[in-house]
Order: sequence, then structure tokens, then C-alpha cells
Amino acid sequence: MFGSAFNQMRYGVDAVLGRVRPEVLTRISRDLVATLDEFGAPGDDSALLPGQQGAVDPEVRRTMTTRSLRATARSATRTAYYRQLFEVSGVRPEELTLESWQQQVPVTPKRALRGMPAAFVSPQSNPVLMASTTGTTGSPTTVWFSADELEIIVALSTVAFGITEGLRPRHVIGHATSSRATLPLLVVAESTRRIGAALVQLGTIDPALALERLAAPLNLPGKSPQITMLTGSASYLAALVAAAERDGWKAADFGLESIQVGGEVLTEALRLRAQEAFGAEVSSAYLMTEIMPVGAAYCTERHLHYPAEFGHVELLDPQTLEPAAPGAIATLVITPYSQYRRCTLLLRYVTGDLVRVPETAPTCEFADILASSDVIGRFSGPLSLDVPTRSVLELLESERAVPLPARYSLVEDRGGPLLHVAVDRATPALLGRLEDRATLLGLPLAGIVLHEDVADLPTTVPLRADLREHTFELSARNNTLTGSRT
Amino acid sequence: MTPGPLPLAAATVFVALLITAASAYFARVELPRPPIGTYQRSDIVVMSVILIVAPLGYLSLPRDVVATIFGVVMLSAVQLTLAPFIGGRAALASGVVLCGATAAAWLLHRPGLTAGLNDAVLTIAVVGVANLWAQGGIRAGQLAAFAFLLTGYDLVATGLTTVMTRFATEVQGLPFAPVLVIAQGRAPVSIGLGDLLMLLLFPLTAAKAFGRLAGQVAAVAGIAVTAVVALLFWLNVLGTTVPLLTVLGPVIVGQYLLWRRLGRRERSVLEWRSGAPVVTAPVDRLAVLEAAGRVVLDMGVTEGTWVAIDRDRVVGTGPSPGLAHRSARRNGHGAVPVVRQA
Repeated sequence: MFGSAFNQMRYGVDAVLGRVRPEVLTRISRDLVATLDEFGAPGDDSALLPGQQGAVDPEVRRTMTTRSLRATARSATRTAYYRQLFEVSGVRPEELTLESWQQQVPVTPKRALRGMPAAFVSPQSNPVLMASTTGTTGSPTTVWFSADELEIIVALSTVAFGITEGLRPRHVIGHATSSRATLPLLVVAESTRRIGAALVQLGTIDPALALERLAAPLNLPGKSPQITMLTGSASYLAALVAAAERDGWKAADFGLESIQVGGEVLTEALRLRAQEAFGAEVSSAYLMTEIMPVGAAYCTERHLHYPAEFGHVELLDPQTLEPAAPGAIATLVITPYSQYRRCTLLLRYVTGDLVRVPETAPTCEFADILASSDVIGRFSGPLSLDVPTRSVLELLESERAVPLPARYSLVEDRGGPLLHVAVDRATPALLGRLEDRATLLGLPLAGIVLHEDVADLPTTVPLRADLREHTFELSARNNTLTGSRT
Repeated sequence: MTPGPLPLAAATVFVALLITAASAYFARVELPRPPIGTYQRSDIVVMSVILIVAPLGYLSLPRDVVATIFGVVMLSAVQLTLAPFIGGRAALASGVVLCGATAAAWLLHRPGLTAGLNDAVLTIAVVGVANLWAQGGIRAGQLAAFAFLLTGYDLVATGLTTVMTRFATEVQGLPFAPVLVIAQGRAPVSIGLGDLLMLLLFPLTAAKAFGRLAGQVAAVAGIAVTAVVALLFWLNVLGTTVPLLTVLGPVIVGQYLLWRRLGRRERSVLEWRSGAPVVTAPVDRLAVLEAAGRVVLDMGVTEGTWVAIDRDRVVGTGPSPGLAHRSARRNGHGAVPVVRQA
């Protein structure tokens, strides 16, 4: 008790002074795990724990934000990229205010980080892990992390798994993301271990095999009989739903209690189909490798809220990069604070993720925390604003005749955006249903074109579900092995 | 002068009533707790150090300052105890009124009224604090260790040195003194706050850790210790201040060892609240797996096939564990079976 109180006090003081010690956060996460073992849940005021959306007085938050931004800018001057940039633009970190931050500090485009990751690494840090994005939008972006940062991220993740996800020692996580996604795998594995739960690294194997593993009895002491929590990308979940619907799996075959999706847009249509197929609650949160540990969580009114604790979030017009107006589409521009990030430093990083700014001020339980709509897609030009990914996926994933994960291509035609969709059987009835629903959703499409061969699509959008990992199980089962080298 | 039998009997009855009140509070009221934190060995060390150093510190402080410190502590404890019944603000107001009246009685030189009000404050406070510790998850083992340390300390501070005697003299008549006064005058009868806290705390902790029976045994043991000490006073066997914990401490440690020897494992707060049994028949998982391994498979089951087994019969088969389970479910078997490969 005394030790826990002391650690929380130290963390608070460290955060104010601008230097968070990883070992203190680790102790807090250990105390949380012990608390969960003893009481089953955290006590009152758990919102005050790191990363738990605690309410802060606006004036105090303003002061803290200014101080954190100055400290982060000061740290960034040690990197090759920002030292040069600050010299050219005349930025003086000590004089920055919240207002001058937007006016003076240039945004950092993704291509700058992708082009030279080392230019963003502080020479005072010791990089130990290179994390790469999946590169679905082109070549992967790499980010270097130090040991301290990893410790901080794991500790915060342990707190989030324990409180937000309700992970307990009896649970078994099936982690269905690419095994090459090192950072998420490392964080999930270590957080799971600290809580005492179990981890099954499924990877992104053939969905039919993944379903078999999810349904497999485990017969382990102190653990649920089957995998209880599934983590993965939305497109891979879509592939699992398709396989479950196709192969006659029932929700009763699985022991899933929750499904946590990240990295891609999770539509309401897919959420409902996955709940039906697996009998588990499906939820998502906003996280991104480059800006860790900054993230966002949903309130009961389905806003995404961005706690000010780990970084500064701006909602900017995707084209002008000026503050977006209420109701407009914005791109998330994020600065992770140097209290939590010491290796790769990023100021005003343009994530490219699109959200909508709320028309009116939210009145939900997190009303005083910056909010936006759900992520609606990724900026790739004006077409991505006119017809956002979420709208297209809501249209396609609610139609059961469209195979999951939905494959489509959006091209600008003379009459407007034309939506090309891959389907099993291109029938007039299906086309009519899609057109009617597109009108209902208010999609400004010039038309919809169905293709029975995915290769006929003008372009293809890469999905995380395509990062398929091979196993020998199915081929061995089908006796298709033609030889052996052993 | 030897105390009369009535105040000594009253002390025993009062202890019994307080234990009953604390137990009723324990069963009905859930106190708030901090977001994270459990009792650790370091907490026992810190509490022991505070307990040893505090009387020495108080002896070097002016009486007014000591009274103020105790007053603030008591006000907090009264507020904590009453808040679940009447709300935080009303509890604070009640605490202010009660503590204010105690201080006023002292300022007006009304020793009898001061002692009476002080007893009321102390009674409310000790019920709340004992519950705070027990509901906060202090383990019976930790409490037994604490009792063991306190036994040694009480023996030294009260029996072998004059620290506690001087402390008792120093705080005598003070408002918020950590002493429950049963009788004043030439043959006073009183119980120290530390003794009272342990008398209330162990039955709650034992009930949480080892079940209702253990709580009842602890309560009876505490009352019996008080009664025996009172009897020894009346019989003039004891004639001066007695460190009660030197008797109570070993009784607490003994009970803890007894329950552990009887094979009882300590329940967590979560298990206590959910009514988990204190003696759980261990599930013989090895037997379940061994039984599944012994099941003789039909000749028709080809090598490499996965079979789902419930007790001694095959309920499904498939090319993988998951498909064998699905086959079992399709055969009308609802429970999750054991799977093995043929």
C-alpha cells in the first residue's frame, strides 16, 4: 500500500518534471496486477492511473502541454532532422507556446521518417529495436525504440490490458497479427506474461487453420478451456468471419469472450458479423507504431478521445494542414512527448489517418478530452475525402454476397468516383442492392462495377490479412507434399 | 487499587460488542480503496516502525500538538467509517461535530464528558480502521507477523521499559487519546487503541482468509483473552499496566498456524466476496488427462486423427484438435472435451 502510493506519487512528479522513469511505471503495473489478483478490479479513481483518461483542469493541462511540447522540441533539436529544420525555420523551443507551436513548428510528413529513420534518432539514446509498419500504403516506415521506451510501453500496455481489456490470469490470448510485427508481438507477449495470462501466437495463417486453433481445447491448469481473447487486424478478422460462415462454424465452437481489433478500420457491419460468428464482443482502439504510446479510446458515444498525457494531438485539414473546422474531415497530427519517447523523436507527425471533427462539443463522460469521430480512412488524395474507406467498407461488409475481406478499387471517372468491387457472382440483384445501399449511405458514387475476378480490379488495396504466413498443416493434411529434404 | 468486577466485566462486554459491530460492518459495508495497491511485507515493516517511533515522538511534543495530531487522525477515521451510511459530507460534518464536542469538553475542563465523547470517537474510528485494513486485503499471515512483532515490542515498551507507561500518563485526560476508558478514578480500567485494533482486526481477517468459522474462533479467542486478563486483575494477580498484546499476539499467531496446519489456504478479497470455499477439492487434472490417454480407440480411427474424449468415451474426431472439438459439438456434446491424437 505505502509502496504503491509512493510509486504513483513519483510517477506524477516525474511526469511534471519531464522525465518518466520506466522502472516506476513497471512497479505501478506490477502493483496493478497484484491488485487485480487480490480484488479482481482496481479501486476507486482508477482513471488517475497512467493512460486512463483522468480528468485534468483545462488550465493545468494547458500549462503541462506547453511544458511538455517545449521539452520535446528541446530533445528533438538533438536529432539531425530537427536540428537542421529548426535552424532553417528559426524555432526556439524555450519560447514555444501552444499558439506558436502550430505557426512555427513545421509538420513532419511520413515520407521524411520513411526516407531516413536515423535522422530522427536522438544520439543520446541506445536504439535496441527496429519496428516496422506493415507498409500497406507503400514501403514500410521504420521506427527505432530504446530499451527504456519498450519498458514504458510494456508497462502502459499491462495497465491497459488489466483495466480496459479486463485481462486476467485465466485468459488465453490468440494473437493473430503478422509475426513480423515485432513491436505489437513483444508488447502483447510481455504484458500477457506480467498479468499471468497465456499467449498463443497465431500469426496470420490460413483463416481455416486459425479457426481450428481458436476452437481447439487447451486442457491447461488454471486457464479457460479455449482461447478467450483474439487480437488482430480488421481485414484478418473479416477473413476469419468469411471462413467461419463458409465452413459452418458456430459461436458455440469457440470460447472467445472478446475480440480486439487494431490497425485498420473496423466497421459496424463487420463488428456485428464477427459478434454473430464468434459470440464475442468486438472492440477497437487507436494505436500506431510511430506515435506509441499515444493512442485513443472510445467513449460510450463512440467518439475517439485522445488523452493529453502521452502526446499532443492536432486535428488538421488533410490538404492545407491548418486546424480543421467543426464537422470537417481532419488528419491526425501527433507529437509523442519526450517523457515517454527518447529514441525516435517526432514533432507534429502527420499520420494520414482521417477522422471527422465533432460538429458540437461532446457531452460524453470524457467531454473535456480532445475528441474526434472514429477513424474513417487514410488520406491518399481528394478521393479519400469524398468517399472515405469506412463508408465503402460499411457498404460492402454489410452485404453477405461480397466476399470478405472486401476487395475494391475506387477510381475517379468522368462522372465521379467509380467503385469496382470483387464478388463471387456478379448478378444484377447484387448490384442493385449495393447501389440502393450506397444511395442510402449518401456515397457520392458515379457507379458500381462488379468483377468476378479480383485481378480485373483497376488497382488493389493491400490489406494486413494479405500478410499471410505459411504453415505445412493443410498441405500435409491434403497429402500434397511431393518430397522432403529431410 | 484493584479495579472492581463491574468495570472489568464491562470492558470484556464492550470488546465483545465492538467485535460484533465490526463484523456486521464487515459483512454489509464495502469501503472505498485506492486504485491500486495491496499489503506487502514493506507495509508491515513501515507500520511497525511508525508504531515504535510514534510514542517516542509524542513524548517529545507538547500535549496540545499531540492532541491536534490525534484529533485530525480521529476525524478522518470517523468520516471514513460513517461515509458509507450517510454520505461523505454528512460524515465529515458528523465527525467535526463529534470531535469538536470532545475538544470543547476538554477545554471546559470536563474530564468525564471528554472521556465519554473520546470513547465514542474511538469506537467509531476503530471499527472503520479495522475494516479498512481487512477489506484492504491484509493477509492473515501478514497480520500474524505484525502481531508477533507487536508482542515483542509491547513486552519491551510496556513490560521492560517505561515508554508506554510514560506515554499513557502523557495522554491521560487528553482529547482523542488513543485509549478507550471504561472507568476513571483511583482504579481506572482502559484498553489501548493498538490492543483494540488487533482484537477487532483479526476476527475480520481470519473470516476473510479462512472462512466464517475462523472468524468466530478469532472473535471468541479475543474476548476470552480480554476476560482472562480482566479476571487476573480482579484476582490481584495483575496489579499494574498489562501489555495485552503479549497475550493476544501469541493467540493470533497460534490461530494462524492452526488454520494453515489444517490445510486452509488464504482467500483473497475477491474470493471472500464471491464466497469461494476455503477448502477446495483440487481438480485432478492429471487424472482427467490420464483417463483420456487410456481410452482405447476404435480400430477405425486412423493414426494421426485427433479424437475428442469425455471421460472414457470418444465424442468426436477430426484432422485437428479444433475440428475434433467441433465434431463433438455436432454430436451433441456441449462441454469442452479433452483432445489427443490417435
